[in-house]
Order: sequence, then structure tokens, then C-alpha cells
Amino acid sequence: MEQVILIRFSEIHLKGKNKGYFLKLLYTNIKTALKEYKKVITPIQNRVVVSDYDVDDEDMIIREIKKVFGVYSVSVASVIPSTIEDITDFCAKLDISGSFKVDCNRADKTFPIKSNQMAADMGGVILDHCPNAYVDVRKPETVVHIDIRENGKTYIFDKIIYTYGGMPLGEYRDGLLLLSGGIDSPVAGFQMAKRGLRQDILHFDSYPYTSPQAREKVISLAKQIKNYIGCRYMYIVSMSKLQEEFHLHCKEEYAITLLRRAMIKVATILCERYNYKTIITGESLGQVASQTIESITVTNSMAGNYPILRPLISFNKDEIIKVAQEINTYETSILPYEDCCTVFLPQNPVIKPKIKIAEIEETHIPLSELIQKAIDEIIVIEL
Amino acid sequence: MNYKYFDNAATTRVKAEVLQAYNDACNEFFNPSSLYTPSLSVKNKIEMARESILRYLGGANKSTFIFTSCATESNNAVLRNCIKRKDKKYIISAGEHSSTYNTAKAMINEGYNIDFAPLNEDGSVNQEVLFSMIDRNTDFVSLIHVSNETGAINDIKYIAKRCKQINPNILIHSDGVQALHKIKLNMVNLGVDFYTISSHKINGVKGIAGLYIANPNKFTPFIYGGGQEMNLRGGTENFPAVMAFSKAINLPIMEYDTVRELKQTLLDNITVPYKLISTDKCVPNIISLCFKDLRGETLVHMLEVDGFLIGTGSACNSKNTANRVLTEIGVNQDYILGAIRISFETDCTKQDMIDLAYAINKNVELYYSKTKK
Repeated sequence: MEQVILIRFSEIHLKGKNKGYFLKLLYTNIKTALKEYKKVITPIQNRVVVSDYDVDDEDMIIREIKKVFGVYSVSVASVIPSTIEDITDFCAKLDISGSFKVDCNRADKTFPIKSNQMAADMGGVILDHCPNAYVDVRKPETVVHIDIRENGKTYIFDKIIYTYGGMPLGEYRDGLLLLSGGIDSPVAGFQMAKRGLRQDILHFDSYPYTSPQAREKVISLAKQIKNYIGCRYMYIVSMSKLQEEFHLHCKEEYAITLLRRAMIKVATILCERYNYKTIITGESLGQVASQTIESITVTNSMAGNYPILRPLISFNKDEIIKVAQEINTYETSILPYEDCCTVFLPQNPVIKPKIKIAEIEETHIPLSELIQKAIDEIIVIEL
Repeated sequence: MNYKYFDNAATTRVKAEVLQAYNDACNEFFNPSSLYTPSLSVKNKIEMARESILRYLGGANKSTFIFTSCATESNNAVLRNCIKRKDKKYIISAGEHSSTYNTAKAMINEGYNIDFAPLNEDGSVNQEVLFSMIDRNTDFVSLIHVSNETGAINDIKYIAKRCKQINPNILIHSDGVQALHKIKLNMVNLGVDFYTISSHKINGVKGIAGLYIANPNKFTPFIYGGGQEMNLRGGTENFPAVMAFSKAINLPIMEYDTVRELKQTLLDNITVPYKLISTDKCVPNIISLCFKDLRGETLVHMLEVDGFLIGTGSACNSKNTANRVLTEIGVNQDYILGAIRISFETDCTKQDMIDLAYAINKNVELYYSKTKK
């Protein structure tokens, strides 16, 4: 009997006229995710079916599909023709003990028996053939799902593996993710990708105040989230000169505020140059001094017309860590290499900075010139 | 870029003749445990290498030497062999290499009673405190012979003797990775039961190290397998690396006077203020220096740009965790993050040392100018 992997979608069915576009995207993304595996991918009404794969690859294929946003759930199913006889035969051969129920979904309205009746009938068949089975519709140990599809085939399975849902990753890399090396920013990228935003990465480093290892760590983080966020390029911009200048000529407590403003400025310039439409950061309200609402206001004012998306703004640290562990970035993030922000760390960073003061401080150094110089020395890595 | 290399305590350049020995041995690919003649030839060569190393180490009558994959394995093997009872006491120094220190930490978590003997200012163990910690219930002492951080020498001969006077049953291990080729070694003279050495610190290849065992009856394997290494360490022998190790160990020992002179040249030419951890009693090829209010790691990168590769005493991280050994020594907080480690061989010249000193002066001043207000 043929085994296939049945893929269901999340909210794409809500998309009305654009449904076709999103389905095509999703189909392409599934194809890309499985490009290393032997398989046949067939779209059917409201489902995608992966067949003719090597059974040994099954777990790996499911793992890859789970990373595709827009997929709602996955099941390994047996396929039989949609006839009453075939379905009955199949149910008669099932070996079930303990409590069970049958769940029937009749998408093919030409099938002569209605869902509820079909479920009851097949329950009867199973009861007849499995002496140790009994029906429990509330908390069954086994659920036999019978999915009668429009293509004349019926898919029968017992497990549904739920995935991240969300929207399929877009065709274009519209977002620029600021990736630091900490726990939060990879999660931020993941969260936005879940809503279909394909992103590239911008990292700020401070060599020689930080190690090449710190940079390597961020590159490996980028590779770890690549399959989720669909990135292709990673930009590295050195902030060392800017940090030195801020340190020497500006108010110490404003060092981080000014640095973050400069980072956002760099990001907007890159957005303009490479046609990104939004900036994504891992900020979470109140987590540190630079993430108070006042600090966010002061950095935000550098973004111009580009929206800064902060998907973690309402997340608690433990919630962020949970996602980081789920997407396997946590262990890399906690490696002890210093990231950009900690070198010229002031003793008492300002908690409620003011835009006016920041702007005055910025006049103490040739800011635009330094930012331009940093961008001129940009390193672009193809991931 | 053509770098000047001053991090020989981390690892050393493979010498041409060592590489030649390695490459030659690669052609004899036979498994020494097989029964045909070519295998026997490989086996015999391994035994000859073992004999040659044991002879170099001046082993005791019943002693043997086993090849391991790295010094970390050797140290793990010894600790797991000697620390077996929860009612006994065990002592290591606070200045041990991580391979000993972290194994001991893990074993403390498993419930073993392991204490850490404190250090003197140069990183050597405080002998008086050590002896006061030992009693008849103490079964095992492990001390690094030469500190990988500061170059401080522990007087293993005297310490082993005193320990055995207090408790004749005590087993002594010393990690001699940084002592090999720096100090003339004789195991009988040192009075140790176990001694760890490694190949890649003496111009050999990586992936091979060894353990001297004074009495094989007092050793149970750490890795079981097909009976290799006289049933003391399982695993197919790394024949090319064994041959390279045997070649490397017979290279000449460090010329003390030359190295001492090089050290002095360097120190004489550093004009920025520093705190010297490595005293005259340390091996002269390892110099641990600290600069006030500076990050050693940053200085490492700045010197790299100028073509000098040095080690850092403390790879600082976002939590500013300072070097463990320097912390144990009691180096002041203002200095500890600014620790660097310079370690060299006789292949560098006085001019190299002067160049390095100038580069240090320049970059330390540059660092201060950029970070101090």
C-alpha cells in the first residue's frame, strides 16, 4: 500500500482572490525545502501530497516540511481509492486495541455516504475485527482519520503533526534582520518569517574589540536560521570607529543610545541601497536600558520611513528562550563571545534618553562621515 | 599574511623531519592488530617508538607508556583511574589545565571529595598549604608540572617525596605537557606514578599524546577496546602520529640561556607599564603579562593586525569572566582582563622580540588613547 506524506495549510484558505498566489508560493517553498530528497510532490485540492520518497528519509522529510511556514500540519497516510469497499477492507485490516474513534472528512461531496455515517460505519467494521478495541469519542487512544479527497483518493492516517502555521515565506527578501549574536535576534527573525517575511541579515561587529570567533558565531547563527527566514546575504558592518568616537567625545551614559541610533541609520541606508522594506530587531520592552520605551523612541527616530518590526516586544525572556531552543539557536547564542554592544559599555547607561540630547551629542563627531565610512567597508557574505 | 608566532604554549609548528616521519608511516597503513607480516612490522615500530619515549622519560623498572589521543584524554584517564572511592580524599591544584580541573569539577558533582590546593603569586602550588591538606586518607594528588598560563614550575620531585612521606600509598600524577622539552625529565627521579605528555607542544602533530604509568597493575583502562596498548587503552593505534611523536620527542630540548635572554630582551623593550606574572622561577619560554584597564583579547587582535600572534591569558566574554588561574593567583581585577601570554621557541631572534615589544608599546598606547577619556 502506498504511503504518502499529507500536508495541510494554515490560513491560506482565508485569502480569497490571492489564494492561488499563496498556494503557489507554499508549493515552491515545500519544493525548495525538500530539494535534497527523492520524492514526487503533487498539489491536490487544499493539500499537498509528497509521495514516492525513500521510507528511510521519512523523518528527515517531515523535519524539513515542519520548517516551511504556511504548513499547518503533516500526516503520514495510506492512500486507497475512494470506494466504500476499499475503505471498508482497509479498516477491517487495522489492528487496534484500546479506545479509539473514527474521524471522517468527506471533501469529495460525490462520495455517497456522509461523514458522520461513514465514521460510524467504519467504527463498526473496526469493532467487528478488533476484539480488544472499544469506542471512546472523548479521549480515544487512537484516532483513525479518513480523509476522502476530491481526486478520487482517500487518505487514512492516525497521527497529525502540527507545525508552525503562519504564512508562506515571500518571494522577495523584504526584511533586514539585525542579528547580534544574542538569544533574541534569531528568534525575532523566526517570528517574522512565520508571517511570511523573507529576510537578509545585518550584523554589527567591533573588531578588534571583539573576536573573529564572535563573528563566526553570528555567521553560524545565520546559517541555522537560514531555512526559516530564507536569507541569502549577510552584511557585516564594523562599528569600532563609531564606538571609539562616541566614547571619546560624547556623554558616557549615551554611548549605547548613540550606537543604536547609528546602527538603525546604517540599516536604513542599506534598506535604501538593497531595496529592503523593513528592519527587524529582537527588542523586548524593558529587557535592558536600551529597550525602554524612551530608548526605543530615540532609536526609532533614525529609521525615517522604514518601519522597525519588533516581534518580541511583548515576549518574556523565558518565552524567547523557549523558541530559541525550539529552533536550535539557543546553544550557539549562549557561546561566550562578546558581541558588539559590550565593549564600551558605560557604567550607568541612560534609561530615559531624549532625542534632543542624542542629536546634540551626535554633533560632537562627524557622524555621517563615520557612518558612510563604516558602510564603505561593508562585508557581504553569501550564506 | 606572514605572521610572527608567539603562542607556542597553545601549539607548535610541526618540524619538517617530524612531518616526514608522519608521511612515511602513512604508507604503512596496515592494522597493527592483524596477523600478516606487514602488520607485524607496524606493530614492531610502535613498540620501538614506545621504548624510545620511555627511555627519553627515564621510566621505572615495571613502567610503561601508552599512547592516547590527546593530553586531555590522558588526564581524564588518570583521574578516573585514581579517584574511585567516595570515602577518600583527593587533591589537585587550583592551577591545573582545564582537562584536569574540569574533570575534577565533574567528579565533585558525582560525589567525590576533591580539594583544590591554592597557588602562589607566580602560579605554582603553595606547598605548605598543600602538605597541610594531605593526610593518611588522601589517596591521590595531581599537579601540573609547568603552568600553561604562567610557566611556573612545580617542584614535583620534592612534592612527590613529601606526599609519600605523609602517606606512602598516595598516587602522584603530574601533567607535564608544558614541561616536556623545557625541563630535563626523569620519571624515577620525579617519583611520579603517572605523567602526561603531548606531541603537539613539542613540534609534533596533533591527535597523539601519552601517559607514563609507573605500575600498570595500578591502572584500569579509560577506554576499552580490542586489547591495544597492552590492554590499557583500546583503539586502533594512530601509527603515523606515533612515529611523528617518537621523532619529535628526540628533538633537542630548549636552550635555557638563549630563551632567558630572549625573554629579557622582550621585557627590556616594553616601555608601557605592565605587571609581570611569570617570575624568574618560571620556565622562560612562557611570559604572562597584564596591562591595567585593557582587554587582553583586544590587544591580541590589534597585534594580529601588525603580524604578531600571541595568546591571551583570558578570553573575556560578555560576562567578563577572567582567567581562572590568574584569578586563583589573586591578580588584581584592574589587571586581570588585560592579561596576555607570550610563548616562544628558540627559532625567534632578539630582533623579533624587539619588534614584538614595539608593537605592544604602540598598540597598548593606541588602546589607551581610544578608550580612556
